[in-house]
Amino acid sequence: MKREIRLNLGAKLLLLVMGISMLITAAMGVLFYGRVTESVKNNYKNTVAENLRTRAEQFDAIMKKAYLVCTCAVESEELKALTEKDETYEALIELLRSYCRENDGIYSVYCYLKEEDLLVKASIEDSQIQTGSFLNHTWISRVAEGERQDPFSPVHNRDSTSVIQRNYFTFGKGIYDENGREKAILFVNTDEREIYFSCLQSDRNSLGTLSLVQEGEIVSSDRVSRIGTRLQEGEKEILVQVPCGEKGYVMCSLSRAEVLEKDLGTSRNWILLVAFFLNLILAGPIYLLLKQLLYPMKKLEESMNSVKEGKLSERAVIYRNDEIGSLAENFNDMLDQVETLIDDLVTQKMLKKEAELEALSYQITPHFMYNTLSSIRYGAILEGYQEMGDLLQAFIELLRISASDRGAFITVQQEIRMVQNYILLQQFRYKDSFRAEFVVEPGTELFYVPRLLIQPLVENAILHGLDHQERGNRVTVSVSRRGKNLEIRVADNGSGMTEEEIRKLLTGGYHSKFNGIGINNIMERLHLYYGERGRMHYLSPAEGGTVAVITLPASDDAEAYVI
Amino acid sequence: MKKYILLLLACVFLLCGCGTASSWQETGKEEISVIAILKARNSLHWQFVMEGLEQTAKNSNVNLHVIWPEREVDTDTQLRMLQDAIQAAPDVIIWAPDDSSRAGEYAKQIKEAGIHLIYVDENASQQEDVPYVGSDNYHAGELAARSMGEALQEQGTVAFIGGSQEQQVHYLRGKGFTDSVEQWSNGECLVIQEVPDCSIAGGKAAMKQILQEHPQVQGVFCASALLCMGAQEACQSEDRTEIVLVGMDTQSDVLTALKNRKIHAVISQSGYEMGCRAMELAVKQTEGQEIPAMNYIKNEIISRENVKDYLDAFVMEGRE
Repeated sequence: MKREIRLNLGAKLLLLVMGISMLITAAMGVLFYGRVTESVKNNYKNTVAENLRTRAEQFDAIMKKAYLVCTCAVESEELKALTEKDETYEALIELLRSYCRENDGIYSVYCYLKEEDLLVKASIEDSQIQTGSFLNHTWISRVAEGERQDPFSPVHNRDSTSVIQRNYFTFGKGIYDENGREKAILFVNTDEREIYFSCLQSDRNSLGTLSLVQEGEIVSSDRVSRIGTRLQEGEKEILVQVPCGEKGYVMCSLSRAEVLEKDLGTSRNWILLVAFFLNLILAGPIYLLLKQLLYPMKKLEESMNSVKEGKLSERAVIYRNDEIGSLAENFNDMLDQVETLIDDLVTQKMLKKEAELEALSYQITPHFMYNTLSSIRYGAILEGYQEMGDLLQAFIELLRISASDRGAFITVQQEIRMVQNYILLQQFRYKDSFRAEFVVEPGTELFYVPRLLIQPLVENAILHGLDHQERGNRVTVSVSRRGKNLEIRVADNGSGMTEEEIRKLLTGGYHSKFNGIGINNIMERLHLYYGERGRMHYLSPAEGGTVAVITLPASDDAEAYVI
Repeated sequence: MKKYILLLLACVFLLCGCGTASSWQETGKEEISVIAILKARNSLHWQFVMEGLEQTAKNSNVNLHVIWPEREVDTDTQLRMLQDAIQAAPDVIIWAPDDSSRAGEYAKQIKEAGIHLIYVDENASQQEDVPYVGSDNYHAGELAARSMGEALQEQGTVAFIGGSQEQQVHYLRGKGFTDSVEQWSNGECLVIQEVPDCSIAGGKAAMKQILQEHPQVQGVFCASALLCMGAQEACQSEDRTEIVLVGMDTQSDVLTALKNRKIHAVISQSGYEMGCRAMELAVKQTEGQEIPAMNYIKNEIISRENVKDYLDAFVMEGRE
């Protein structure tokens, strides 16, 4: 069977507080992680850019120097003179070599003599003269074309004129004669490796991989194998680019973002972990605090449960002047009002019942009526009608008993007397078609019973139980004590009643013609006064007839059962 | 309740920043490209000019490329550089011609290429059709003569040492000086020495020659700081320290010599101001604004009385 877990308010509040706290921590952690990451990245980029700017300036300075050397050289009279035809070109080679010696950064200087179709090459270490089929005219044209495109930017090229094909940054300019005819081209070459070691080499891994790029192609880098390849910016990589003074050249740094993010991610995770454990540690104190705060509410709940079980006198304790205190106060006020209402209602009901009973009691003709009747009785006796006088006397006594005692209870003796007078009148009416017997146990005469308890039963027996055409009709009224109770029986020897007739009788289907009281009224009064101890039922004995049995507590106190 | 918790969780996840790498590029896409061609860079004056150009370019978002020959006499080299500059097709060329006489033909080429041109330091424009930024050199010569006249009571024989007379700068300074000396009560500018490379050595040699050939000379106006420093060395070695020397250019070396009473006066010429003004005019030109033909910088006499102010200014500006 599935067991339902019930959490009390304190536990729910605790879970809520902890849940919100964790969510806020997580949200802040994530939000600030993003911002901090961006900030760190931007700072990193700025730092790298600053570094690249310095390197770009270094590159610019080297290239500017090479350009100046080339431009000054081609106007040099000495150089112009040495480009004339010669057998060995030793002087030319030496001059070219001097440009390398006197200028750091210049690795080699070549001079192409157009008329002789010779390429004179010189570096500090070596010199060479290439001619004929060994000459790479394509290389010469390419450099010359590059110079035309942008005279201030070097041409990046691979020296295919040499066995060891170095990567160069080359400035090439024409040497003109006095007639303006280009007779030679001077090439001033800076070795890419020199550029790398001067401008790109870094022992700081934090700068990432540094490269010099021209129009997306790597022209200088840590690894020679990368030269000529396209610079690829991968996912999760940070690329920083700073343009050089030389058009088209860009100093680049490519680094992996995870290097930056790794530490930040670790910090973020630590923050979240610490927040989680702090929440757990604080859960206990928070729970105790909540319990303390909710204690008044718990006591209010207990008070409400007591009231639900019927203890209307229960009142909630007011602990604090807050919402719960206000609830408790209002609850107490509500209970006071309910108690008052209940009292009023009960009182009203009782008063109503008493009024109804009193009204019933006073259906009988008032005092004037039996005084008049007394007068008539005297008159009848004087005229010699003794029997008439006796009947009138019985009638007057019947009325007196009914009207004189205003209390709801009379003695058995008084009730029997009233029934006897009633029977006398009925015997006269029915021409003594029946006999009445009274069996009253001694000692029971002074017990108190509700007024007009027996008379309606006797009337019912006389009017409905007996067949007045028959002889030998009998009505017996007996009063006896059964332990603490009093038992009153009204029996007749008539034809008996069916179940349906008894039911109709008990549900208000019959009302006394004498006083209008119904048999069900007797039952209601018995229940009202005596509760479960007051009962009435009908019997239909096998020998015939009908017996009405009333059971009620035996009391000699007239006020004992007054409501 | 559950849906509110789910909504809150969704918000938390949305806030998660998936850090993606991004590239960052200093675009370097300045609005204007300028090429400046100086006479040389072998003196503080030209270094200050370059500094002024670079600083103003940086503040104005200008792509600046500065080139120069080794010496002021390398005229052909400078012209070669100018041809390269025309080929590079910038928005503006700022040029200090080494040879004013040949500037005109190149100015025409530059104009035909649709490039703005500004002369700096040297006004090679005869028709005032190219804006000029620099000293009023004739007036500078006048100031030099005034200063020397005060020292010599406008009497005596004087000389002028300048650079190549092909350069308007030196020509006008010399002319302004000699014209003013002729107005003295009893003055005569006897010698005009030409030192094409404007170097210290050249100035020293020129001064020695003057002292040998014209020992009666009482005062000498040197058209540049380097020439003045060279002349001062010669006077020192020849024991002729009474000669009134007046130099030009606002540089710490010549100002220090003035402060130490080795020379009489210096005519101010701020290379930094020249560079700044030239770059400002270049920007205005590209914006289509009208700019005046003559844009003179301030020239005044720096004497032993006010030299300290100029030296302090150097220190404050952190330029030396």
